Amino acid sequence: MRPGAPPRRDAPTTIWMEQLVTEPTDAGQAAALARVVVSHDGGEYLLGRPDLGLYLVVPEPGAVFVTTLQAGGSVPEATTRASQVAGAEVDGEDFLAGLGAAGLWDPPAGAPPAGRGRRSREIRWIEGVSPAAARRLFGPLAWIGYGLATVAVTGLLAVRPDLRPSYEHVWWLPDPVLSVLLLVPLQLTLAAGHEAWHWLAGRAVGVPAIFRVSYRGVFLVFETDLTQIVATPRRQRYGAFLAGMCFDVTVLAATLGARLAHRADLLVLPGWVDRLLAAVALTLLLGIVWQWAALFLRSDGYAVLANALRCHDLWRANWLTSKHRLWRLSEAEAAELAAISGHDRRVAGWFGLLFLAGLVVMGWLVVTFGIPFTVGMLGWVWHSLVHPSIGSVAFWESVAVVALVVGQYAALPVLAWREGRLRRAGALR
Amino acid sequence: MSVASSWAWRVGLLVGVVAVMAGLLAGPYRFLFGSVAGSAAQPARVAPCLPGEPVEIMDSPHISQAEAGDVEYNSLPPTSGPHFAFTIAPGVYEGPVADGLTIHAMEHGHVVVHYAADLPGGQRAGLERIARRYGADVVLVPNPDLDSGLALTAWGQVDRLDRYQERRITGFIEALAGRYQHGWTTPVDCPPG
Repeated sequence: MRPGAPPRRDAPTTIWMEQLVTEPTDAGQAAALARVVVSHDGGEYLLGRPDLGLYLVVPEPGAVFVTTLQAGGSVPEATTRASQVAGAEVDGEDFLAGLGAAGLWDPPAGAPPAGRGRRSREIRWIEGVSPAAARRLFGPLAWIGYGLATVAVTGLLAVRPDLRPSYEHVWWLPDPVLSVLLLVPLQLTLAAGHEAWHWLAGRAVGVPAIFRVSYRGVFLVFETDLTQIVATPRRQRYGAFLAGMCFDVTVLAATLGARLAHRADLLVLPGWVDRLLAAVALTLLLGIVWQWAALFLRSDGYAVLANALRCHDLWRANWLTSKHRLWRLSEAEAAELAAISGHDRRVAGWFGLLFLAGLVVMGWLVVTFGIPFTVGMLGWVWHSLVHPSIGSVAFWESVAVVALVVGQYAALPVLAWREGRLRRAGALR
Repeated sequence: MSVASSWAWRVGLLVGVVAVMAGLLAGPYRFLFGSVAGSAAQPARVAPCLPGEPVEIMDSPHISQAEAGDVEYNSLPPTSGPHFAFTIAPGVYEGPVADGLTIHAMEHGHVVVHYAADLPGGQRAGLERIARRYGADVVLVPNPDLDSGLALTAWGQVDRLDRYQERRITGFIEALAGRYQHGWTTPVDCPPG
């Protein structure tokens, strides 16, 4: 577009105009143009191909150029409008070619062929929820509700230590394996609710998010693809990023409220229900803490902070900055770091401390909840197998636990061998 | 970035990690080691200011369900001794719970309230109210080994009642809950004077 203002890829690679090759406009380019989303982001503009996961940062004239083309304007018309905004002559053809070299005109990304790669399925029925209905869950009244739920949870956990969940609550039944097995469907339901809330928040701001269910090993996984959220102004993205935790904190507030009422004799629950609620509260609380601690895993909390700090690739900038401080960078990594925007690099200069604080909190979670629970379960399995009673439920439950754990690891070489075979046969890309 | 600055970050990180690990494994986190091994035998910890009576602390390793049938405890209900590697959440249990679990609950500082099968419904309701009020501290279980009345147990301490007495029960809970957590949580129970 003009010297000093090249399109910047919002990912590891930086594309400089001088390196680009001119390509002619064609029908494929026109089809791809329709898929490009343009969004304003502070002083910069973002051109995105959500179907490819490709985003380029460009100055305002670049965005004007593309929107003019999308509105049906010719390349000369788009160049004229972009020049007016830039206040100087710009080279539209060159810019167009640069975008093509960056991959913006690539063919649409197709769905993976059935039976290949990780198995997943898009959930279509959820798309029956209208954006208007979704907006009601993220209107002012709803946000007041989420805020009150957060205050209630914080207050209750602060002033009523007896309501704080502990790892002991996982064993809400006298049978440890049955406790976990019966808790898993509830945890999956809560995970699905968390992801569905992300999806609904995306729908509320008009972003065509995708809700998927898949599995890794024997574990069911729910995922929401919100990549197109970058097409909205940053202020509108918070809802989508925070939505999952809004769901969690609302259910947690209801759970703690029910347990508090039970303690105060206002609501008499069967003993097993109260203990199950404690296990649910533990699940939700760990989930919320995890979202704010696992910044290094690009959790919801990371998305909120990166958005608030107006960064494009903070995670990578932080990783490379930290590696540079603590070890050394390869030439490629040094070039990659230099290509990341100065703003992101400046933020990464101190954001590493937040990553570290998150790691400390994760360590605390492991020591406080993870290790005691694991030691208890493994100890039980170990003793049940070393001193077996073949006719007991405990023995066969322990055998099942060992089979499940060993099966997970034994499956890895088998899957690797199968993947290699498929790859060699050209059946796996 | 200068070499000195890089070394400052490296040393700072190392010191931070060591400090955090030391902090995590000190104080209340010491029990992590105990949670693997169980608790060792000790003489009864006599505390005249506390309700109930002290019981000798048995060697308390982790055992399997198959081994539990051969264990002989030194009190009824037991207040220490061999137990299962996992524990149970505090709360109200409708059916009997194995000694191997109630002992582990006591090893974590909980008070276990046992009642005989023939305890009148009104008294049972009273126990449930107390168990709800002290929900984080109490495990309430029917105990088929009790002929009558009820028994209050904490680690190394027991009190037997022939009927429901609210103040005596709540007094036991308030005095004994949290007294032990894979080790005594205070050096003395009854300060001199």
